[in-house]
Amino acid sequence: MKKSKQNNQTALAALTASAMALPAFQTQAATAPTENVVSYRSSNYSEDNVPASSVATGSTDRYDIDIQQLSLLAPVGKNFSLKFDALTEKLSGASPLGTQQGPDGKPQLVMSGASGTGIKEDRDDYSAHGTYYGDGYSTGLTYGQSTENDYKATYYGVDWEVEFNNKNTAFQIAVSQSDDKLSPTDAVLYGRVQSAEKETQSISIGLSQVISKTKIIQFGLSATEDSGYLSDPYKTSDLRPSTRNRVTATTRYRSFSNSSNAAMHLDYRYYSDDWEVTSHTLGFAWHQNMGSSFVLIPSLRYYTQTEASFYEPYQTAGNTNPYYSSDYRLSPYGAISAGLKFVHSFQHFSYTASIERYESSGDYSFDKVAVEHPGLVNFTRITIGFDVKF
Amino acid sequence: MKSLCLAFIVLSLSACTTSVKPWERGTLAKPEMQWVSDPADFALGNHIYFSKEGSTGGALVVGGGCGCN
Repeated sequence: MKKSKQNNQTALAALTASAMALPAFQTQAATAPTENVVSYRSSNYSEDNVPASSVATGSTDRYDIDIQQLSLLAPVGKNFSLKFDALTEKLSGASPLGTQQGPDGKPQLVMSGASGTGIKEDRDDYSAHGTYYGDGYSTGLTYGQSTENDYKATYYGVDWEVEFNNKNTAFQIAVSQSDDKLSPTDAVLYGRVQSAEKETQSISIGLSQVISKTKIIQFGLSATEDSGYLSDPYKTSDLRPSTRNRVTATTRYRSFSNSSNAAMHLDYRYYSDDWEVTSHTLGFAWHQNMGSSFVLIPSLRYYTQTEASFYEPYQTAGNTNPYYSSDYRLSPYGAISAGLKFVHSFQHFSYTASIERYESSGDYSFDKVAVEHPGLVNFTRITIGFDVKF
Repeated sequence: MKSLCLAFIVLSLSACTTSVKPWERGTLAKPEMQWVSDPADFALGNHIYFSKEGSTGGALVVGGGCGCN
């Protein structure tokens, strides 16, 4: 639901990314849950404003989003479980529409919100996941829909896990697909595509291995193909290839220290695609138990990526590449985020509060960045919530 | 290529791990030792990263189309 016709450059987005990721390998064993679990989270995501010196026209505001999440996990008999997830987002603010060369030769942002009223957008995401637990294996099915007034994604997948080697080793495989439909607002008025479609297909495999009584590791590989309309209709002069092939390699490691009564999480992901974007993501978290009912979790995440082959800081007359985008998400940069989370549990109830601060910059990139995009995002995310088991 | 990688990983792991009996896995079963200890928080975080960064995948959680560009 949008407030402004002039500023309908919405939220369609994530057109540089898949509308889905992959079904989960979230547990270390194919074991059926024995309790119902209801979880609720309320989050606020707030992006820093853009400095006025970086904006050629439009608003200096960025997005502010309120998110509510509710999930229910229910065992059904001894061998089945069902999980339902609901998420709703209310978004307001402004977004970069493009760039232009500034007086000093550096790029400046053309932002939405020039008329003083910003974007308002809602998104609802509902999904269901059913799992059958056999003797040493599990099989799951996922179906979900994400709906905005100008974007609808329907996603589904199947995942399978089998344990062997005296249940010290587990192999996982997952296949998933998303069918997305775009219907940009004010398409005729602004010369945007009126409707378009996009498909995403993924396959992933994983292998987890118990190393000792206190250590476990997992390796994963995935391949994903996007096809269809992959440009962003709300950005000026944005034209991208109609396919994108992506691969990732991941490693996750968990280690428990009895002397510290704490668990260490280390995650790494390598990413590469045929748009020539390569990225590295490194995550660290320390789950410190304090007594029997409190947990404090500090975390750090580092991210660095290269630019897409057709990315330019701003459009120039001499550009002969048939494709072009000045989307900051396709620019070279790095990002660092730090988080702190608190969990208090008693009996069948627990509540949680967390904060994350995310900052991105050309200076944080692993490689030297000649021209930093002025639209790189800095944000703060605050979450509170509770879980009830019964 | 993937098969080779998988075979390499399996062989490497078999050389450096010991078999842990089911009754010795109490620590591995702790909530803080799961791959994802807070699925809702993990899903939202990944949704934000995938909508704000130029790469995605490997996060292993189903998500929907993005509401923020």
